[in-house]
Amino acid sequence: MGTMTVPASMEYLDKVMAEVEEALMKAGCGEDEKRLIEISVEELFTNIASYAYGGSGGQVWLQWEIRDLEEPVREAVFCFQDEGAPYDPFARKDPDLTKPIEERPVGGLGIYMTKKFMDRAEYRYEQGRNVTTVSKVFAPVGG
Amino acid sequence: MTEIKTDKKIDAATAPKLDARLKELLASGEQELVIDMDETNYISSVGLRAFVSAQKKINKTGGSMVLTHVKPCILEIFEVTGFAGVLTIES
Repeated sequence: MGTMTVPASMEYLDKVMAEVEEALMKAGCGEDEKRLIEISVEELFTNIASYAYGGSGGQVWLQWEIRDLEEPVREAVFCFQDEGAPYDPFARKDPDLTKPIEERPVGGLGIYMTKKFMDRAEYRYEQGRNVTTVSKVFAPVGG
Repeated sequence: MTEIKTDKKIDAATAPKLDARLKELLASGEQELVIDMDETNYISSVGLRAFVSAQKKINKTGGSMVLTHVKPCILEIFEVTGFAGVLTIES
């Protein structure tokens, strides 16, 4: 289990990603799942850093946990919290991928990827905080 | 024809540079872009948006942009996001 608190600013993305990458590597997460989890974490952090506080600063609390499920399967769980305006990122309608490129909105793509790549993507508003939790199950590789 | 080699990771840190390079080439009148993605094994939405924005411009002017040496893991991301059908991709 790990936690970190950083200002909700893109300057801190690298710091967050380095921690996440290390946690996933230690947990034996394979490259393919690691990539999809990292993209999802980047998208969620970017969303909070870009929109949660509407230009005024604030903090992001990140908590992660690697859970042992039935041997040898594990689950990586990432939970983001912020004190921005209540906003459920997963309530947004998925982009229409059948539309021609010219008519396709590019917003919402990151959250759509997160929903597709992670096994679970949940939002709740609790004690003045947006709480966004994602998780993905993986079979550890190597030792 | 101009060829660009993309970074190992096309993420929030590197995508703005790619986006700026594509915009600069298209603004200079380049009509034929080849994007060598041999090194790339990570792309987030900000990177996808850079390609989509370039493709939209190219569609208007009748040029071409080909993404070459696209790894299966990146192709999977293009497919999930529905961009495999609107970008020209070669593995």
